[in-house]
Amino acid sequence: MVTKGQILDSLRKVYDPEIGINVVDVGLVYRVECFDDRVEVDFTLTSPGCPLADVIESDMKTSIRADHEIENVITTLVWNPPWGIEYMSEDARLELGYPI
Amino acid sequence: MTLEITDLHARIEDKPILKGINLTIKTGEMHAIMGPNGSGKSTLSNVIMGHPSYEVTAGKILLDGQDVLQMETHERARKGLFMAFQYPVEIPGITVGRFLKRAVEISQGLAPSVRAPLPGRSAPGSALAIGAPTPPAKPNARPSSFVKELREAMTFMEIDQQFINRYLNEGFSGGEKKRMEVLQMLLLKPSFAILDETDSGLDIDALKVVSKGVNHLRSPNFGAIIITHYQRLLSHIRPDFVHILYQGRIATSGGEELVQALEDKGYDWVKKQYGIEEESNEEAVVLN
Repeated sequence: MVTKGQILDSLRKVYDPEIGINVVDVGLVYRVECFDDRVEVDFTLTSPGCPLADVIESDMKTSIRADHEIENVITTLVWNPPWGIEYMSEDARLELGYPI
Repeated sequence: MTLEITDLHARIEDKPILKGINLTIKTGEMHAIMGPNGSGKSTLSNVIMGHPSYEVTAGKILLDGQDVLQMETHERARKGLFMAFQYPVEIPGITVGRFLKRAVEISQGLAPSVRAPLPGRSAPGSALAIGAPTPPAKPNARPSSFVKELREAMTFMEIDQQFINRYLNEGFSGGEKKRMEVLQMLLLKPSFAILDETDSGLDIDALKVVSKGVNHLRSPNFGAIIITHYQRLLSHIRPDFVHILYQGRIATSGGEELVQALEDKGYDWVKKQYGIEEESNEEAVVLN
């Protein structure tokens, strides 16, 4: 079975087009769970009504499928808790000039 | 690697400073350069790194056979040369963390971690290396590990973690600036480092920390030129070779015993021992 770490590595290749940083380091990925027959990913967006939801969602599916032998990738957009800057990784915050 | 300096002459404006320096340094070696004020120590460092105020009038500097004098300063840095400044510059607006992250990524030829590789955007470092052809950046595959490495190096150098968020050198004390130089060196892992009077203005505790940083890099892949006025630094960082610079030339070279001889007898001894004539009264005043 594929590991959570491997899925996160695939998701690091998906970038939030608005800020140009990968979705994992931005802190958009809230949950990754791997099962024998499927992978579930809960993710959020930096702001509600972000027009790029569909792009990010399909990029995530494509990236996971490209790296692993999994067809069944279930992505769910969630809004709770709301995203905040504190969810960004330290590297992402350094990159954008926020304090860490 | 080998850094080979042959018959190097350099001047600033119309004043000749270096008058035929010959020096070969291999990785794995620590060279100390001592000499009175005005003998050319800082000029030598600046010329090796390509400071635009100095004009090389003769001689060569080769890094593994490659002509260093033909390279821009940032190319020299990417080839593995590093200098810790005698007077580090304050750079308001750029935090220590952001500066070091980008510097390390550029020196390793990596795209910025966490950031998307933008099509049409030139290689990383283009902002620092204007007009220079740079090799395409390798994708930065490593997970978020830079901050961890940075924090470890800061702990090692006894620098408070809060400095990550401060603007580079802005409002730092003299000792903090020098530690920051050595922190950069630890993270950039150069092949050759020049420490230009890194010990000046340091109290004994800061001196120990700075020495610890330099000694930490000691390896067959690292060489250093340590420029200093004082014996005390060289009791912490023990050099393999000691050179005494006098009036733009290396008057004599030897081992650690030279440091003690110099401390005991002063530069007049060098002058007498090696039959150096004062070149002009003006210069004699500088030497006093």
